[in-house]
Amino acid sequence: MKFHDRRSIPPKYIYLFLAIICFVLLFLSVIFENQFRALKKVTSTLIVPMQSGINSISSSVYNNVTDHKAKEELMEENNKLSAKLDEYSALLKGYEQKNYELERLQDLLELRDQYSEYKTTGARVIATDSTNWFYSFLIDKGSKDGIQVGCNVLADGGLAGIVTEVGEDYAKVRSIIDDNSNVSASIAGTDILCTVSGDLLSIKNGYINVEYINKASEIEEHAELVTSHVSDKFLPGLLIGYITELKLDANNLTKSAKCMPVVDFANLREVLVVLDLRANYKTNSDNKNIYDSVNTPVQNIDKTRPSAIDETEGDSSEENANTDNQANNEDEQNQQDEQNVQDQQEDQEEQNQQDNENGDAEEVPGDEEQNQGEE
Amino acid sequence: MKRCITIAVIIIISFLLQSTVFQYLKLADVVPNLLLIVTMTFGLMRGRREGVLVGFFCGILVDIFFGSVLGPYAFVYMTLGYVNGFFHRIYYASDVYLPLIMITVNDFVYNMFIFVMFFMLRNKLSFGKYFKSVILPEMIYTIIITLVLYKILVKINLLLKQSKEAN
Repeated sequence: MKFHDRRSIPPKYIYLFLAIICFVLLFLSVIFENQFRALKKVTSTLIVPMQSGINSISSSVYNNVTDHKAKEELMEENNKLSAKLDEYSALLKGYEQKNYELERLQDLLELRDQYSEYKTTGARVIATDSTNWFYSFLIDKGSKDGIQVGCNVLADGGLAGIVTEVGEDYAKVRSIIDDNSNVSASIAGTDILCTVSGDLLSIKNGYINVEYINKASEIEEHAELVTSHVSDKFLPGLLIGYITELKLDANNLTKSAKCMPVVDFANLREVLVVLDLRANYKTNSDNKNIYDSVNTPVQNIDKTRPSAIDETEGDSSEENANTDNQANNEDEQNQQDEQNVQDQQEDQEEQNQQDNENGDAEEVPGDEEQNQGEE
Repeated sequence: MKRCITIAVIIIISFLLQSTVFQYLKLADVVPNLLLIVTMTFGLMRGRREGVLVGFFCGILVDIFFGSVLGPYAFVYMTLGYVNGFFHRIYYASDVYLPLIMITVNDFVYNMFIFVMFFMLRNKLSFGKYFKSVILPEMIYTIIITLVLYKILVKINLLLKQSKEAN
């Protein structure tokens, strides 16, 4: 009889009740983020094994299908090649083959050397965001394997994303092409800083946006874009992609560009997780950090020219504040409106001009180095 | 009880399919929204009460795995389930047009909600482009999948009904 009574609750009250629960959950999950780990843990222990199982089955089926296609293509190609073989001498062919193999192996070796200084672990992508609006994915390794929130994730020799959530045996990765993603980057081999932000519409056309490049900086087409030294989330020097279509922004203060990511996000199956965090990353003498070159000249001036202390110290601290700002720019839900950023850029511009004047008057080597991008 | 377990299994299976298998079967870079089909179907077949409950659990699953906070997806799914429940009185099992019209409207409203909540509020206003590249492909793909999945769900509902009457 009681069961019957319960059924007679009008649906609009159920709706109201659950709607209130939704909003309460919304606020609680923002305020008490840690307490909700338990709920996530319960559901994830149930779902994640199933996801990884189904994914392995479907990926093997998918691979079989593509293998079959590849086989047909290969047979066709083989026929063509054997016809071609008559035209060329067998010896030449042999040399070409060896040369190609040598190049490929050299490439592989370079790639390994590039990231050998970090501890890494391989992981498999088991599930992808079920909405079509965002690009985050789950991998099959978690805190058991030493993965923490903030670990950088690599694939195809470039940066793929960052770990935003960790469970015992799974981790959620937000990729750099996600609409919420902002990465502080720099052009390889220079001090030019910029922000790489994922954009849903851009990635449909195969690129991601590069913003806030100083307008005075000269960048070649197809320059390598790497993660910057000022980022507090991403390890420095990880390859992101190659720059194309550089253009001056409408505000006439900054440039923006497109970046072709090196990672093939459409076919992401295996990734490499870097276990070292940026927070623990220390620079050594081999890998010199930019902060060293900014700070040391100021100290020299302190000793040699006591009269200049006030001005230069003030400048350098503000200079640092600017780089800090830029670091803060990146990452997390960056909902700062553009006006703020523009102001910041303007401030920086003014700051740099002041620095230039100071630099000219007093010949401060550090400031010149800092400003070489702008001049 | 039997009904609860069956529905729970259906929800979990569609979530798993949506996040794993259909990632390999992407058309125009989108996956169909299976959870929305399940919510819509149960809203139509069983009325507001079940629509709102099924929607809530579908949404909370998406929230837990892919949302940054809990709540928004649960809210949009349960609201759609509830509204679909109003159309229960004009529902009959062999009707094909009603679910197709409903899923089109549902998917549009669902995507509009996401667009307004997560994109428009961040000053990304080019609705036309988002409509063309995300919303329209998802709507079409979801409609196609509805043709198959709806039939299966109606059959499952019929079997559950029969087994209950047999008891």
